Amino acid sequence: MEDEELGTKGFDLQLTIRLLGYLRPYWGWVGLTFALIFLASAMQQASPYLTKVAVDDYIMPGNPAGLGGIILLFIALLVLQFGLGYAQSWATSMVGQWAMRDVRLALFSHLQRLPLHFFDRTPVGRLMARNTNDVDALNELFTNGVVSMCGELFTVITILAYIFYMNVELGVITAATLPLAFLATLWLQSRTFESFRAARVRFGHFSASLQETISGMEVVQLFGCEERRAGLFEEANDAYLDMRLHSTLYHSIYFPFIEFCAALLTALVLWYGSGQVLKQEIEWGVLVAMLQYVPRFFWPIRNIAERFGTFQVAMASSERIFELLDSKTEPAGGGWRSERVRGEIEFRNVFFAYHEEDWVLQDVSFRAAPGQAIALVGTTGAGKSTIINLIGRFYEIQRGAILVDNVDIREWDVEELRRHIGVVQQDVFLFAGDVEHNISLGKAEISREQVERAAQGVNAASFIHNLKDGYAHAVAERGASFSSGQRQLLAFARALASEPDILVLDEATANIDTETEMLIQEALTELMHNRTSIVIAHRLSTIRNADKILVLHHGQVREQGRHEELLKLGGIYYRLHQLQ
Amino acid sequence: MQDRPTAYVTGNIKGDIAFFAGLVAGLAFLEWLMSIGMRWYFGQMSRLVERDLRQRYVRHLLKLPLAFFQRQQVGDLVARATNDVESLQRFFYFGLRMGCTGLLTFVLSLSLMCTIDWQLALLALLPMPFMVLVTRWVGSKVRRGFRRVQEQFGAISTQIQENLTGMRVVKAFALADDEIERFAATNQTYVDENRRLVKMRSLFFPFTSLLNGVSMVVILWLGGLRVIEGIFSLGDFVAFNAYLTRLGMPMMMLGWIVDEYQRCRASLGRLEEILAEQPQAGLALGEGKKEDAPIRGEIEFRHAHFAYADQQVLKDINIRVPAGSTLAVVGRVGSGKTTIARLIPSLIQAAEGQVLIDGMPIEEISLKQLRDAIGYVPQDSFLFSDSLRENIALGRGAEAADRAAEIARLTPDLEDFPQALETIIGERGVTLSGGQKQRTALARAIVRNPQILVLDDALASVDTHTEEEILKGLRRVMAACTTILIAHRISTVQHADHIVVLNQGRIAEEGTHEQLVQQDGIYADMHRRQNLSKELGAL
Repeated sequence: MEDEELGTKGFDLQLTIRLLGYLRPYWGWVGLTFALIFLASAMQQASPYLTKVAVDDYIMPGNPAGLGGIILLFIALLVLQFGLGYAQSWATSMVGQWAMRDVRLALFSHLQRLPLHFFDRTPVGRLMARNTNDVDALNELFTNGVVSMCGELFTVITILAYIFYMNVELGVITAATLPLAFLATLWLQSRTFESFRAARVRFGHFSASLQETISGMEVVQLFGCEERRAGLFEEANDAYLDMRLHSTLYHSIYFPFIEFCAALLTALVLWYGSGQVLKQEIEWGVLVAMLQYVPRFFWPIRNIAERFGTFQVAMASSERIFELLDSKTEPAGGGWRSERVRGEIEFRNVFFAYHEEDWVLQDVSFRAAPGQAIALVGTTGAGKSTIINLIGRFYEIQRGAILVDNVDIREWDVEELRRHIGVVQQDVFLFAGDVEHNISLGKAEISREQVERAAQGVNAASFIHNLKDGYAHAVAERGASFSSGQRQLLAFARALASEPDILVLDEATANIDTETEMLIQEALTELMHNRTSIVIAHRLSTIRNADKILVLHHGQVREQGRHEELLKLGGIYYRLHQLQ
Repeated sequence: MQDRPTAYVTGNIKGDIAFFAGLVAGLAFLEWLMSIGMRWYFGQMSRLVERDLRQRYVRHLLKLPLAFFQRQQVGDLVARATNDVESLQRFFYFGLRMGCTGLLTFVLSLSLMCTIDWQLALLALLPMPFMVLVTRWVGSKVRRGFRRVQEQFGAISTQIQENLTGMRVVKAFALADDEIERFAATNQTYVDENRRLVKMRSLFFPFTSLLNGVSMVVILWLGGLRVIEGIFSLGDFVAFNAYLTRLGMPMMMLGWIVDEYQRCRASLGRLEEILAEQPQAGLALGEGKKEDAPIRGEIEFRHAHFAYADQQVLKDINIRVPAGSTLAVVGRVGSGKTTIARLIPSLIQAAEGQVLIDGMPIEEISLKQLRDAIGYVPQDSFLFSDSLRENIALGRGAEAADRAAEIARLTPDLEDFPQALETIIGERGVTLSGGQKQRTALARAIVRNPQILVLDDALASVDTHTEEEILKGLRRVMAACTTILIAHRISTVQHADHIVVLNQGRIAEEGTHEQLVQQDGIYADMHRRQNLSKELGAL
């Protein structure tokens, strides 16, 4: 969380250009939006000018009928303003919404293609923030940013144009005040830049602190550290307050100053304009119109200033979004596909390390014939889970080759390869949704019948029937209401339902009661029946039934064979056996 | 109509113009200074209110019973402290300030307009009531739309979170395309909801400026006619125009303020909803009735029943654990073991029957005193992103953490950590393995020198060898307190003074290890199986 909210720069042209790329599919709408903004702005600023015409041409000369005409024109203008204003606001908002939708989808799709090791080191909360808060902040760039800023600038230009058209000297005087407002805006920007960023960071701190306190409430209350947690939170909260007060001070000076500028310009206009009117150099109506233009003139400027902060946040957000979008995806693999897989697996001198040359697997070679069951055995850290992860190409090996049906897995289409492999992990992840969804995983090609058959096959059916809504039973809070045995059975059903040709299984160790254990053992037999299985085995029954046991030690296959053979060997397997 | 203006102040017209222009500038300068003060005070006030409210909210949360947190989503509770409190701040800063200045401007402009021509003034204000009606109507629509958008946003976040936490499954089962498709649908629904909101929200400013424009038309027309008829001077006309320009802002703001106000009210409602929750009696405040004798640690369950929703978890439990002895609870998953553990520190309360500590009904003991006396190690150990030492000490004497870490066999692992006990855990620090987490949680309980030690399957993630060493170290701690030991491994529980076997929420068997083995029931069966697998060498 620390520096999460900190952007490195205020404005970045390259980033902006890349962001604008997301508007490209909607260029027609964007064009329309700009046209609407220009039109709406021109219409909006026409009313003071109409007032001038009314005063000079009809009121001063005393022409009530002509005044009526102008009034009708004015009303028509109002209606037009309304229509244009509505259309512009709608189009601006929607273009932003569409662009954000696309960014969100692009991010989500990109995340699906990132390699597992990316998720190993990136906390979920951070990725969530990219896809929600950061994308939302982009709105400040799309709609309130680029589009509205252009609109505001255009308003300034339109007003100046009207004034110049009426009287050049007054135009010059008005334009002369711009630098003053501009400088003030720069000053505000330089003063609040840091505190604004700091405030964002601190905001992150106290929400993180609060989140932690709430998640750990049981510990907080059991161990009586409420005071301490409250204190930590208050510290962060106070630090946030300080930063906010800092920027509030500068805002308090700036915004009234812009109003002061407007009043100052009014005074100038009055002083200069009245003199000119007396000399009959300019008409009365110009003065009347000027008094309306002056306050309008400064609104866009303060509006822009007001958006600076959010603009900054959006820049930082887009920076982070692109950083994520640029992260390397996992390889899609070659184009090899196969309808039916026999299930032959071969490791040929495989070397693998998560970090550089810190080998987790060294020169691992083994072969599983179709339909064979291979049990992986060894102490923690021997490399058992790594082997399992490598078969589905979740990580890239550094040396050697892994072959499925005699085809290097790098030549396989990755998704296709994984479709043939059924995976059961140690800690079973259950999705929100019902039991059926958790078995079929939302795949359309898996029917309800298949779900039930799979559940039946792995002995999960009976406990599912005992649930209140059976297969429609909602899984709440990651399945906290299920015992770990039940979760195992659900994972088995999930694997069986996808009818894999190869089964990869990490047997759970802890927390299984004996009765469920029996169910699980039966289910395992069913699950491994007629398919190649690679199992990290903890159960004796699994090990005994295996066609081959691989004994892993420090990332190497040290012994292989069947249970009795290995025992007779009196080597590592024998010792592992004795240790228990 | 005045063709020849007369000088009022300085005696010549040019001087007068300069005087009034100067007056405008001078007043503007004064206005600037005062506006600074106003904004600063409003700003400060709103920020202080924000801070105080947030503080009060969090302090209140800390006092709520745990059952409350099981009903709530963490994200939502955090959002109330951030987004909702912020929307209140915004109202106090913008809404209230704009409301006040707007009202003043309105009253002053209106009365000045009335002194010139009250009929015209009233006519000019004709659109006002419409403005109020329209803004209220649009406002309520926008609010409803906004709520729907928020809900859909929640759906998006939930889906992303699910997807990310279940990424291994997504990858293993090649679900990427299905997931993208599902997400695209939710994403589109979100955009659709937004479109409905935009449809209404886009009405706001065009409508207010339309009505403002109507006022301008009225002045231009009727005011213009009055000038032509000679009732009005051109100066009156200009003044009217200028006042109306000033009135325009508060009128346009009105709709916006109403919107802000409603949002603020909704947020306040969400905060009050939590603040109205009843704190758990006696929590952290020492409100319990009796607080005389220190707790010795005798625990008794008398016909205790407990149910989650409609599911009976414990039925008629009767156990007496003398102070200083060790009770082990074994049984299948879901047999109610954890529920027994949770009853002791009053994390949950028995529906029927009683739990007694030192012969006293548990409700009569101050919660603070009770929990102070208990060292509880839950199944899932929660650690804070703080130093290991602080995680163990949790605000108590940090020195004792070393000894506790030693007993919990955490010390050997410390060598791998950059700063030993001072290492910060969490996102930017090291990540702990399941076993290390459990041992930290164990040390946390030991450091308190509890009278009652509750270990709820606390050694499940630790290998058998380490478990043995931990138990060896724990023996001294256990000798000094009452221990409730919940476990799966017979090896963990066999030395307990008394063992209770739970089956479907009832006590099925009880006795010492030897007695239970002889009884040849569930326990003996478990024992046999575990021995068998040990002998056969399951790995």
